[in-house]
Amino acid sequence: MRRAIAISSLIMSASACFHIETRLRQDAPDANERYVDASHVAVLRGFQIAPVASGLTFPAGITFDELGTPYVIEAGFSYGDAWAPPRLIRLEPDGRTQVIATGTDAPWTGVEYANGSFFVAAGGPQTSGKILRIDPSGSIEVLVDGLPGYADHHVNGPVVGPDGMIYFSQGVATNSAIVGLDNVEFGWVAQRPDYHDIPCQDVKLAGRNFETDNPLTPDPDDRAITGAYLPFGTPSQPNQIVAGAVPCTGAVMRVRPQGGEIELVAWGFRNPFGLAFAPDGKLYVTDNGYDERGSRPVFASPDWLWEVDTSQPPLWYGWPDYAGGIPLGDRFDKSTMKEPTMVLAEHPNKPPHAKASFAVHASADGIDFAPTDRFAPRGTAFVAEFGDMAPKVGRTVAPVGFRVVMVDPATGVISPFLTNVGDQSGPASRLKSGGLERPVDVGFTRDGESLYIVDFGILGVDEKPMPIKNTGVVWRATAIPSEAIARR
Amino acid sequence: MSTRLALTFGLLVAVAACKGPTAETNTIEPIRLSSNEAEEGQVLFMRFCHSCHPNGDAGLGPSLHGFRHLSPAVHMQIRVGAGEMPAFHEELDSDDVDAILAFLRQLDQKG
Repeated sequence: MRRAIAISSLIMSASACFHIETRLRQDAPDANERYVDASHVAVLRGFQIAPVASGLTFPAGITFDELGTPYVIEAGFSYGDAWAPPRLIRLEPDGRTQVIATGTDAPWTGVEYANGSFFVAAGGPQTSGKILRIDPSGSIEVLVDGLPGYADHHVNGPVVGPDGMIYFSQGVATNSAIVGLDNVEFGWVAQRPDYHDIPCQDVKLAGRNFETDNPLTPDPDDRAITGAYLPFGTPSQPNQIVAGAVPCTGAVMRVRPQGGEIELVAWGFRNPFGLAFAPDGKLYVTDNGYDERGSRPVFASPDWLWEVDTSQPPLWYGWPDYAGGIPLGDRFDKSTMKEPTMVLAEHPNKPPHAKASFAVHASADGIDFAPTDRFAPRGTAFVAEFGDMAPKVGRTVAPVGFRVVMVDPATGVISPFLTNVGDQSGPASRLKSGGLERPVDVGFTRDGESLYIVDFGILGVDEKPMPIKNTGVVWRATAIPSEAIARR
Repeated sequence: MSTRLALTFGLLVAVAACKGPTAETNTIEPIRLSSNEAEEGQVLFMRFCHSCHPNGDAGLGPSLHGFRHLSPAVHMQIRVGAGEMPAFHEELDSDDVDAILAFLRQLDQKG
C-alpha cells in the first residue's frame, strides 16, 4: 500500500507541475532546429557564457594545443543508431571551423592533445575499440586496437598522465553483467551472440541465473537462461571461474605514447566516461551508474566520482555487485521489489567509497580540474552532466542533469556552475529555450582563463533515442571583469 | 509508518515538487552557509540525499524545497523511509538529520 501511495504521489507531482512547464513553449521552434541564446543559460555569479561554435554533429570532446587553440571531436555516432563521419575539428578565433581529420571508427568519444599529437578514444558497435594518434596534418595512426567496446558502452578518455602514459577506459557491455533483452533491443546481441562482459582478473560466480524470452530463436516459447559474464542464453554454475583478461570491460587502462602492452590501472567500474588528473597528480574518473533495465535492473543508482591511485596495484571498484561502495540489495531494490543479489561468489577486494555521488541518471561525463583559482579553488572538478535518458534507463520525477557542476573532491559537495534558466529543468529543446542541450565535456584552457563546454546537441528520448545532427554547440565561459561586476 | 502519514507525506511531496529546480534568472548565486551545522549538513546531504534530490531539487525523487517547516515528518521520513525511499536510520542519527535540515533551510533562504 505504501508503494502505491508513493507512486500516486509521484503522479500527482508530475501532473501538478505540467502547467508550469508549458509556459516556455509558446515560441517553439521546429523540432529539428536549434537556436542558441546565451541569456537562457544561468551562470554562477561572476561568470559569463557565450557560444563559440554551433551546427556541429554529435560533438563529444575538447582539447587545446600548446597555443591554446581549441579542437573538438565529432563522435560520428549517437545512441539512436545515427551515424556520420567522426571528425577532429579546429575552432578558429573568428568562429569558423576547420576539419583536421576524418575517421571511420565511430564513435570518437574523447580527445587529448599532448606532445604534438591528438589522442582519440574510438570504436564501438561496428569496429573494435581503439586509441588513435592523429598528427596535426590529419594523419591517423592506430595506437591501441582490440578494445572490447562493441556493446552498451564504448572506449572513453583518453588523458595523458603525469607519467607520460596514455590513460583510457572501457565501459561494460551490459547494465549489470547479465546479457538480456535490453541488450537484444540495442541490437548487438543478434550481431554478436557470443559477446559478454570480460573481467580483468579471474572471478568466481555465485551461480545466479536470469530467465528471459529468447528472441534469437524462431520458437516463440523458447526461453534463455543467462549468467553473469556469459553470453546470452548461457547459464552459470556456482563457483564457476570466468577467466580474466586485459583488455577488459569496466576498466581504466594505460599504454605508452608509442603504443605496446596495455596495463590495467583499475577495474570494477560501469561506464568510466571522464578521466582527468587533478593538479596534485591524482586521477579522477566519472562513472555512469546502473540503469533500471534488463534482467538485473538496479534502482536509484547514482553516478560517481572516483579517485584512482595509479601507483598502486589495480583495485576493484565494485561493479557488478556494489554501487558507489554500497552492496546491491542494501539500498537499490525499492522499485522492482526484487533484490539484485550478488552475482560474484567472492569479491576481489572491499570496494572503496566514491568521492562524490551525482544525481541518479544525470550521466556525469566529461571532467576537468580548475588549473588556477580563477573559476574556483584550484583542484575543483568541473563535470558535464549530459542529462537523463529516461524512460529508457528508469523514470524520474523531473529531468536530471543537463548542466555543468562543480565538485569538491575533498567533501563530495556538488554545486551548479551552469544550468538552464527557468523554473523547470531539462534540455533547451524541451524547455523551448536557447540554452544548454546536453553538456558532454568540459575543458579549461591551459591558462585557466576560459572553460569550454561541449554540448552534444539534441538527443530526445521516447520509445528510442532520437538524435538530431547539426545541433551541437561549443560554449565558452569566462570570468566577468571586476569593473563590469561593479557596474551591475 | 502509518498509511495516513504516508499519504500526508505524499501530498506534501506533490506540492513541493512544483518548486523548480533551475535558476529563475541567468545568475546562479553561490551557496554561502553561515553555520558549522549547515556545512556539516551539506556534506551529509551530498552523501545521502543529493543523488535523488539534486541540490534539493526534484530528480529521481521530489523537490525538498519548502520542507523546513516540517521537521518532525522529515525526521521520520529520513530515518524510517517511505515508499521507494530507503531508511537511513543506520547511517544518520538525529543530529545528522538536524544538520541536513539546517542546510536545506539555508538553501531555501538563499533561493
